[in-house]
Order: sequence, then structure tokens, then C-alpha cells
Amino acid sequence: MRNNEIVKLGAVLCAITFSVALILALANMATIDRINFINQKAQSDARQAVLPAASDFEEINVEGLGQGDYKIVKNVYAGKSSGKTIGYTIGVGPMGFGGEIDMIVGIDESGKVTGINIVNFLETPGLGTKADEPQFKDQYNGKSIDKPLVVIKNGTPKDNEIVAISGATISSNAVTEGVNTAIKVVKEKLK
Amino acid sequence: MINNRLIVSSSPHVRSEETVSSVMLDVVIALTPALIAAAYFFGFRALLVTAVTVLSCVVAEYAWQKVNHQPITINDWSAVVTGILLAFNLPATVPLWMPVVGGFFAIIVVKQFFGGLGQNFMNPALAARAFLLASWPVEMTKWVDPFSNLPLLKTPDVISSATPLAILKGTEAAGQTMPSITSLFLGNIGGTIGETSVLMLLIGGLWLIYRKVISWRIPVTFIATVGVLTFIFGKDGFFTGNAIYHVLSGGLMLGAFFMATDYASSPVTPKGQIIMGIGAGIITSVIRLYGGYPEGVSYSILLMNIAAPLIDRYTTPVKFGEVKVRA
Amino acid sequence: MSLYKEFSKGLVKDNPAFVQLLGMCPTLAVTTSVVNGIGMGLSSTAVLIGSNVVISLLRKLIPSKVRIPAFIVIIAGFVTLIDMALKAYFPDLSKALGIFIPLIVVNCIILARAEAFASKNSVAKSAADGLGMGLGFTLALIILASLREILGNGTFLGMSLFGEAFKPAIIMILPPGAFLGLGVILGTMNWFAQRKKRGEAK
Repeated sequence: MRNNEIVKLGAVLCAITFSVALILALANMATIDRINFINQKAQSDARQAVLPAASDFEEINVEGLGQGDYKIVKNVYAGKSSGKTIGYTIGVGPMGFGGEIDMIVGIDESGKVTGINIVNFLETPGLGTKADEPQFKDQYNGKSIDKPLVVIKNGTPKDNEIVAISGATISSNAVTEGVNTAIKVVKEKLK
Repeated sequence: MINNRLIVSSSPHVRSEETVSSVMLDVVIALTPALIAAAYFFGFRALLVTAVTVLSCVVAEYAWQKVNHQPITINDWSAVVTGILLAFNLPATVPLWMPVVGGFFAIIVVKQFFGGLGQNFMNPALAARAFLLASWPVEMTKWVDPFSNLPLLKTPDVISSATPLAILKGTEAAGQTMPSITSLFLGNIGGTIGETSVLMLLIGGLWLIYRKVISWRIPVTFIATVGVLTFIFGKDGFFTGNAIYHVLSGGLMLGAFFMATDYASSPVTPKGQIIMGIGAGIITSVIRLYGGYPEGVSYSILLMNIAAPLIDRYTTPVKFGEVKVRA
Repeated sequence: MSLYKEFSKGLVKDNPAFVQLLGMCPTLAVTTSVVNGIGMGLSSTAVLIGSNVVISLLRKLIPSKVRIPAFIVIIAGFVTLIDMALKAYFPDLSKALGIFIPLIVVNCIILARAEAFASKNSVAKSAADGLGMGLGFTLALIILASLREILGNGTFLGMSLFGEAFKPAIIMILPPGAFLGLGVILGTMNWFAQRKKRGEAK
């Protein structure tokens, strides 16, 4: 009797989970292409946003990405205008408070950070998500790549300092780590 | 609700002259030397901030008790003590509305919400200070050096100078010279209104112990633990720590004598008090040496406040004649 | 109870967040701004209605002994569907809602309504219950978020309310502020409820 009942329960659960999985698989198939397209467009839009002067982007094959010091680097693109390279966009994924922060850092030929663009993140709404606001993001514009950037809690930042978001130190540190790694890539692998 | 039943019991009875207000007045007297030092080093503004805090606490308690149809007890001076202690934890540069918010939070939320005098599970002044620090971190850390000639009503517009603990920690104030031990002892340093003069706080603390308002257990164990741990875990290796500077800096003296000893939020048993002192000392040392903040006294006391009931439970003395039941 | 009563009870009398004290995690975490509260509330309502309807449809088929895993699978499936749909067709909304969508799966309200109501009532009533509970949840989120955003950020719906001179109490948009705000709201509600009871007893 018991055995029969367990088999019946198992069978019903199986049927439910199989049906749900089937529906999800179908939905996935129907949307995966669109989602991938949207993601790629978001990435290329982000690249354009940090290097507005570039007319097209070409991916560069850089050795050692994804390991060691460059563990969080995902890709490197050269931004070109009239055939000449005017800067680089580096895609990095530092670990924030709620997971990976998917961001793009732009660095131009004169050795300055042109800006950052956060494509995706799962930070705490209202705190870590402030990293995507101009008040925080724009701090990186124009920063020189001579010295690594340092995060300070409050006060007036010096040339290589970034003021953290009040109450979101981990998110602020993560974004800065992303920028510093991008700077490292440019200084050590591309020059 | 006041219990109107009369309780009949036979002699012997022990009479004490202590009342809530007499104990509180002793505390106010004990805090007066430090208040004078605050006025001397930080000027009239320090006194003004203290007055505003005390007034806010008293008004808050009056208002709450009036609205809730409870007997008005502001003449037991407990709100005044909370006000002075809260003010002693603020820098002299705070905008004058901040102690008002802090006073209301201390009395209404930390004290009255939980049942009033004797029922607070945390030190109200410290909890209010933590609340203010989390709400307005910039304004609550605007330290000034002594004799800075602060404007009275206007909020001072100064660049924060470093406190001795910040210099010891080395992160934000790296490279600045440490003040002399005499300065630390007398109070000629930057810091909150009431914490700077070790000498004046010691005088007050010893008065309280002499008047039997507090026991020596918590302050002595607290301070001794911090001294020992900061000596052992020095920056340059074991047993090289700057224990004397650590003991004389920051809110340790103020916290150990006046805040950790609050009746309602500290353990009742003698063993429990020693445990609280040691525990607070350990947490303070860890935060100061390895944590993200230069000062850890307020958080360590608050954490031990929360642990106090548990500590009391495990340190209850054995009743005379009580024998363990063998199974 | 009439269909309307099934709907309206979730708004105030049996409010899932303030009365039943369900869904505390998103209530505390997400109410840092009113916009976030609305976004989370409406997404949860959508999932709640959907899962209530499906579970009510299947209520005769799911054996009682395995109902919890069955409910959870259905709820998680719904959330994943909505997540995929948002990513594919409303990418801006998806980015704005960010972490909220996966968070809906752990929202106790959905499992609680499935267990307490949808598994025992008709589809129409379950849908009404889902809508009422969801909107009540959204209302609770808006109230707490307003308190936290106004005091902790000086803004409402992103618009600055006070001038430069107002220094917001940052603690209100941090986790302690969530607990403080929720405590004060619950205390106030209880105070009014007790006054009403005393008034009725007289």
C-alpha cells in the first residue's frame, strides 16, 4: 500500500515538474535569440557611450584574459575612427554586493578614462544601484591612468580618488576595481 | 500601571536613603568636571549643545508621558543624565537640530517604547549616538582641535581634523603627529564634547565608585582588557602595541565609567559585570585594531548590552544551601 | 464571501505585509524608494494572480502530501517565465527591476496564499484573492517606501521635496531604517486598532 502511494506521489510530482520544465524550455527557445540580440546591442551601445568619437569597434585578442590579475576582464575592443585607433573599451565583471557587475570602461589614447557604462548589475536598490547614476559614474570621467584609483569615504577627492556612495562601500569598491583592472590591461598589455 | 496593593512583611527591614533622583544627581555631579573641561577646550558651543540635548530629552519624556497619560517623572533627573551623556558623545560642531533629534530618539524610542526607566535594553545615549552617526555620518565626524573659537548658533564650517585614534589607525590621518600623553590625559585633543579629558572623567568615575553608584568591576575590567589586548597585538608585532595611547584615547574612559555601567542594560551579577567588561574590551580592541572604524567603544557597549540578559542568566549566584540535584 | 470581499480583504483588513506579516524580506529590502516599491509590488501581484489561478485550476489534481514542492515548482516556473518575457520584450523595465524578479520566488506571500486559499477555492475567487493581496502588498510597500525615501533621501518618486538645507537621515534608507520604519508603522496600526476596540467596548 505504502509503496503504491509513494509511486503515485512521485509520478504526479514528476508530471508537474516535467510540464513546467517543458513550458520553460519552449519559452526559452522562443526568446533566447531576442535576448541574446538585446544583450549584444546593450554591450555595443555601452561601448559607443564610453567612446563616442569612435565610429566602429574591433575586438582585440589579448592574452591572459580571464586568469590571474585579469580574471574579471571579459573582452577588449579597439575603438576606431577613420581607420585609426582612438581608444579602447574593456569589458569587466567585478564582484559587487549582489553578484557580478557587468560594465564597460573606456580609455582613450591620451591615457585618460573616458567613462564607464554599467550594463547590468544586481546591487541593492537605492544604495548600490546609485553606482549607475551620473553623480557617481561621472567621477571616473577624465581620470588619468597613471596611478590606480582609490576609494575614499567622504571629503574632497584628489586626482586619483573616488568618493564612495554613502552606505554602499562594497558596490563603490567593486566598480573602482573594475576600472583599475581595465587600466592595468591598457598599461601592461596594449602599450 | 502602578500596583496599589500594600505588601505586609515582617522585620528586619533595610532602609536606604537612595532614590532614583539621588543616584541621578550623583551622576550629574560626576559629569560636571568633564563638562567644565568641555567648556574650557571647546568653548561655549559645547555647553550650548549640551543644554540643547538635555532640554530635548526632558521635553521628549514629558511629552511622551503626557500623551500616554502616565505620571510625569522628569524630576527624577534620568532624562537629564541621558541628555548630558548623549551630548558628550557628539562633536562640538554639530548643527543644533541634531541633538534634538538624538534626544527624542534616545528617550522615546530607546527608553519609553520599551517601558521607561529601568526597562531599556540598550544604553539610550549610545543607541541615539549610533542612530545619529548612521544618519548623518559627515556631520557626526567633524572634529575640531581645542580652542577653535566656534560660532555659537551657526553651524561651524570647518574641515575635519584628525582625532588621536584616527592617527593611530593610520588610514585617513596617516602621517600626522600623535599628541603627547599629557595632552591625551588633560584633554587638549580633538574628539567629542565629553570624551577628551581623561583626568576629569577619572575624577568623576572615582566619585561614582566612592558613592557606590557604580561598581568598579565593569570600568576596571573594560579598561584593563583594552590595555592588555592593544599591547599584545601591536602594529609592529606582538607585545609592541601602544597600550597607553589606546587607553587614554577615544571614548574608552567615558564609556567604561558612565555608559557601560547603566543599570538597566548591564548585568546585575558580579561575575556578569566582569564578563561584560572583558567582552566590551575585546570587541573594542578588535574594532580599533582590525575593524573598519577608528573607534569601537560605543558598538562594543551596545553589543554587550544585548548580551547582558544572557550573561545574567548564566552567572546567577547559587542560593545559600542550594544543592545540585543528582539524577 | 462575495468575489469583491475576497478581493478587498487583502487591501487593509488582512494586508499581507502589515497584518499577516508575510513577505518581510522584500518589504524591508526593496522599500528604499517609492518607485522600487511600486515596481516590486506590481511584479509580485502579477506572479501572485498567475500562480493562484494555475494552482486553483490544478487543485483537484495535486495530492495533499506533495503540495508544497508542487506549488514551489509552479511559482518558480511563473517567475522564470516573467523574467524571460521582460528580458526579451521590455529590457529597460527588466534592468530597472533588476534583482526584484528573482526575489519574488522567495516571497512568502505567494506560497502562503497558494497554500491557504488557492488550493481550496475556485479559480475566480483565487484570482480575486491574488489581486487583492498583491495590491495590498503594493500599498504596504508604498507606505513604508514613502517614509524611508522622504526621511532618508529627501525625495518622493525621485523628486526632491526639500531644499538644499535638508539633510536626510541616511539611516532610513539603510537596513536599520527599514526595521525602524516598519516597527513604527505596525505600532501605529496597533494603537489605532486598540483605540477602536476600546471605543467599541464602551
